[in-house]
Formats: sequence, structure tokens, C-alpha cells
Amino acid sequence: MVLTEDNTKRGKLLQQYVTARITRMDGINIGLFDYDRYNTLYFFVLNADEQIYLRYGGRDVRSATTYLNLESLELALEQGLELHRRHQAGKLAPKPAPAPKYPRDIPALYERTVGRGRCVECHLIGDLENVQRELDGTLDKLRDLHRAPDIRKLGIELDVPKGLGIASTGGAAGEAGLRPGDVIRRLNGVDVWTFGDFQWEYGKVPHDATQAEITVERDGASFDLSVNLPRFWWHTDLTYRNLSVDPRVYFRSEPLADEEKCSLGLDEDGFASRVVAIDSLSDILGSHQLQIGDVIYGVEGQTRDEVANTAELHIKLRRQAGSELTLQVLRGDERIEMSLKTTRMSFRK
Amino acid sequence: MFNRFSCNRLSARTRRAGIFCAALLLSVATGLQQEASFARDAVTWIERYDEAIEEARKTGKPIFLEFRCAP
Repeated sequence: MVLTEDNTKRGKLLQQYVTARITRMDGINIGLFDYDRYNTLYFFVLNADEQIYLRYGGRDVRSATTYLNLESLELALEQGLELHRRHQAGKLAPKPAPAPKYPRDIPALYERTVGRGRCVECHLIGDLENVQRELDGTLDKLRDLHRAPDIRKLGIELDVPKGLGIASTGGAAGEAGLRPGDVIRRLNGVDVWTFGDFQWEYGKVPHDATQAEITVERDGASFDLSVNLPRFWWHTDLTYRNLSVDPRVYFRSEPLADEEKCSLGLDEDGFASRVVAIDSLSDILGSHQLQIGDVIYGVEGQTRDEVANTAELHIKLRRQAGSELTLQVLRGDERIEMSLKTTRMSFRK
Repeated sequence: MFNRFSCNRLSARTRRAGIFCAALLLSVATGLQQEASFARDAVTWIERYDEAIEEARKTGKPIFLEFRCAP
């Protein structure tokens, strides 16, 4: 817990706000306050008319706090006050409000939380929205699980205390002309004030987009730059969303290096991966007979997946919970087949 | 010279005064330390969303809204 003393810069800024901390989402309009629920902390700055000025939060696979920093929080608080002044002066265009949605509107969420008088925690909303989509047949795992693309895939390393200030560039961003010291101000024509804003807008870009327009401020001038999006720019490691991803497979595997795949006579472009951990529940549930060290090189005869680099991820992204699958496995020198019974997670905390 | 100021040579009244002063200093120092450790938090968190909206309407302030799991 960070103490905010009233004689500090942050304390003085916060005293100009009404501060609210919400730990139960039961009556919250989650349509308005939509965000990637796998953020540990997430903040909004808004006015009494529920016009959101900015977001503060965002994360990546490295840590829940990669982009959280007290200095950048102070910048965000200053910017929030400035936007509020503009709003009060009638100089801030209102944004259209998204359709309202409440936890009670999602049957799977209602059944497990609201309906039983249990707390609606943020991550449960994320998990059970996906469960509901799967039940409705509308779940697109590539879209719905990859909600927070990594800015580093563009070659941008941020100077985190400076918010959207750029520390270094390379790759697509470097080629587009972004430079260290630039401050990102807009993405695809939308103002972004914080990393939270940027990641939110970036996550809304369609996966088939090939370019993003980034406006930067440099020495007081504004520059519009077109960044060519690399292949699979939206794809991220889903490890920290593990509980959001059904089906359960009750093992963990790691990808093989290309050389090893080659030496084992396996498809070099395939998702062959070595089992490194087995959940003890697999025995109880009779999920599989895998052993640590086994190499899974095929699932139902399929050996490749354009985004999954392990058999486990391939199953999680492409298969339905409850399906029974045949795995192609290399155990020592022997190629064998075995069945895998997948399940849906029945309890979530 | 040294013996003149040794404890054995101090009167009971002087010793009592010394103990009182030491206790006073200790309590002031402890108080200051506590003040530093438990400095006043500038933030009073409202825990209900509708109350925050009402307060913002009343004061004209913007809202800084945090979503988090219960600590």
C-alpha cells in the first residue's frame, strides 16, 4: 500500500479529485468501464456526467506493474485536471457512451456470483464473459484473449515515468520515424494521454490491420507517422490469462527449439513441445497419461498452428472444452498416440 | 573531578529530575517518529460509485476511480 501524504505533489493532486475505490463490481456499468480485467489495478478519470477523460493502467506479460509508476500517475492526474478544466469551459467534445452492461446481464457471471450473493471480482468478469461467449458460440479466442497487444512488438520501449514518452525505438516504429524523446499523443486519430489509453485503443485495432497511425510530439511540434504493423502484432503470451482459457488440459509444455525438432525428425514449423509439468488433477480426472519429458508433436494429426507455439496452447486456442482428442507423442524414441480428455473449469476464485 | 559527577554523588532529587527529563525526551521523540510513520493520508476513498458521482456533482471535482480486488 502506498501512503499518499497531503503535502506531496501526488497528495495535492489527489485532493483536487473525488477519489473512489470500487472492490465490488455488482452494480457497476461494465459496458462503460470496460477494460482488460487481467489488470491488477486500473483507474479511470471521469466527470460526474460519466465522461471518461483518461485511463491509467495497462500491463504486459512481464508483470502487472510494468507500466505502473508514481511519476506517470502524477502526470495522468495533472492531465485529468486539465481535461476537466476544458470540459468545464465547454472545450472538450463529449464522447458517445457505450451501451450499458451490468454483471447481472451475463448469465454465466450472474449464476456464479451475483445470483449467489458472492463478490463480483474484476477478473471473474473477464473469465466469465469468455465462458458466456463460448456457450453462445461467439467466442473468438484470438480476438477475445489477445486484448492487450504489446507495444514492444512495434519496437517501442517507453520511458515509463514519463507516461507515453519514448525511451528507445527499433523495428517497425524506428522505420516509421519514431525517435527516443518523442511523446505519443494520438493513435489512429484518438487522443491518448497515458499508457492505459494507448493500450486500450491499440487493443481495439482489428487484427487484420496492416498500419497504425501514431502522432508524436517532438520539440513542441506534432508529427503523424504511419507504422507498418508486423505479422501477429496483436499476439501475446497468454500465461497470465491462464484461468481465462478453457479447455483445461492439466499439463504444461514448452516449445522445442528448431534444431531439436529437426534432430528428432519433427516438423520444424510445427508446435512440438515438451511436457514440463503435470497437474495432479489429471490423475483424478483421468485426463491423460502424459509423462514429464514427453514431446507432443501433433493433435488430431495436426502439427502446425500459425500462432500457437506449443501443443497446449494450440488446444486451448482451437479446441472446445470437453472435447476428447488424440495426441501424437514422442516418448523416448517411440512414437505413440494417446487420448486427452479436456474439461471446463468448474470453479473460479 | 570525575567522581564529582558520578551517579553516586548526585542527590535523589537531581536523579528524579534527570529521569523525568529523559522520559519526556523519549516520549517527544516517539511521538515525532509516530507522526512520521503515520503521516496523514491525503486520500479518503469513497467505496460506492453512486456516492462518488454525487460528490463530484456537488463539488465540481473530477473523479479518480480505482477498480481493484478487495485487499
